[in-house]
Amino acid sequence: MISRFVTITRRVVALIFFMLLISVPHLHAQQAPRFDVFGGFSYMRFNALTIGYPNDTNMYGWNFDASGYIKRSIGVTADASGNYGSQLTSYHFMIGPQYAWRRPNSKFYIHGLFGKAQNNASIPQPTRSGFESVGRSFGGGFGYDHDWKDRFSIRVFQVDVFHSTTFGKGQNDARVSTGLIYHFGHIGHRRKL
Amino acid sequence: MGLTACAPGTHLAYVSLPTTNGIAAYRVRDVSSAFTAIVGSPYLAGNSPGPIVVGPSTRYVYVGNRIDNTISIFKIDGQNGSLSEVFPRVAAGLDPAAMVMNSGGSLLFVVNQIASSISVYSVNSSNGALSPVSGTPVFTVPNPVTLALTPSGKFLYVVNTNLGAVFGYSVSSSGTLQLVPGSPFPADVGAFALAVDPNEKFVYVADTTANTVSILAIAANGALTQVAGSPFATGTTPVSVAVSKGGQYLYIANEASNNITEYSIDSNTGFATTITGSPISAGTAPLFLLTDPDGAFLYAISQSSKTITSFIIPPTTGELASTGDSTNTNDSVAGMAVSR
Repeated sequence: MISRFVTITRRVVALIFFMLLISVPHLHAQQAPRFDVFGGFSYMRFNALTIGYPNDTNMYGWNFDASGYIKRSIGVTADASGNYGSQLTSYHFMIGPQYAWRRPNSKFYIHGLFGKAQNNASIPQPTRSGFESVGRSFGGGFGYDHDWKDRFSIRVFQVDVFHSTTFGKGQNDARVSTGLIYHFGHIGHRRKL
Repeated sequence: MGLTACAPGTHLAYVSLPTTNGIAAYRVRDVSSAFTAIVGSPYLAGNSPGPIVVGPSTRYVYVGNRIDNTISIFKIDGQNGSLSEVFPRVAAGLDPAAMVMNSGGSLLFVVNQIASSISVYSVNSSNGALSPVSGTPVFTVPNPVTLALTPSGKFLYVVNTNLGAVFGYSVSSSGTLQLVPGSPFPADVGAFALAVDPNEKFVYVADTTANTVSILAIAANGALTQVAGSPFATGTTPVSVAVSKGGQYLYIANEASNNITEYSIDSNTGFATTITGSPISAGTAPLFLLTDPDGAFLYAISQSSKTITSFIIPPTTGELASTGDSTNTNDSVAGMAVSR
């Protein structure tokens, strides 16, 4: 199961870099926001089976990210999220490349993410409040944004999958986010009329 | 909360690790017998934890700390089966070597090997606390090593290795013990481990020195007599006994010959017949045998190789089949218990 997940994730990342390579000659010379800052709600399906829970668990929380574009479609995104269950808390701090297909009022994007996961199990013990583990995490995902107002867009959805290693076990988690984006700066040239 | 920890399709297993003074906790899949360590495991116990018992409500685990001479009480987390110790620890006799709880979870019986005594505790149903029963501990002949209780809770049997015999006690509703007339009942040389038939007809005793298993029929007053043909030959150094859920199959762990002898048991006479394919290889020096609550699997624990090996118990033949799964405990094991 883990090898299939890793294979899929690696293919997603390879696809991103392939798009980066082939898209340079085809960039449209149009202006686009250089920086996006996103904040919103996040749902995560956490792979709690791997740490002795009877089932995987649903967790809810927040997701922030900041993206900066070096080309109209090519950028880097830094992503942070926190998700909370009845006993479990999961944080991800990630960074990675992002590729966007821009339309006049919307944007579809894919990205690869690498960083760390910090998972906590709040199980009170006589000498401690619970157990915590920090480990490497990698993953990828895609999303769709739609323009709303001059400097704002709605992130209709973003879907990410992660493979993290905490508590000595590998977890395969899925996350869905939605929320609001603020744009500033610009990249590209105004289209000649 | 206990029912949540034991979610459908899984049960919990707890293993005492004396070298590191810990209790390892696992969630076990009923269908596959796959073990998954529970977050935070192992949990710290007292000095040299050994015997371990899970209460029938799956709310508490009791562990005998053999060097501390205490009993640790652990509360089982309702969501994931992890353990949290409830202090203070309860005083036991010198070297609590074996423990058993009645099916209702109201009484806990402890053999204190060095003290040569049997302690009995009443169990508080709301918080799992232990209170010594009046008139206990009961002193017995030096070197009692283990004990077993009939499913009804009426009779308690204690093995004495020095005598190669079994002491029987009738148990009152309050937990007081009365020696069964005629005790002790002879088994064979080196009597070391025992188990009681789920149908309450027989007691099975592994005789380590004689390399036999003694099968004794239980009379109405709790007295024991060897069945015809007993004792029956085992492998070398039989050290643990397990009985199938229906009582029709018997398994003996042979430490020195690294295998498990398998028997079918005549439900009327208690006569043991070795099953085709017996004995089955059980890794390095199997020391403990335990069945899962559904009676579908047999667990063989090796202290030297630090592993738990799972076998399938086919209900029609009883001939064990290896699952191919072996769980590494990372430490020597001194006891194991499973939840219902």
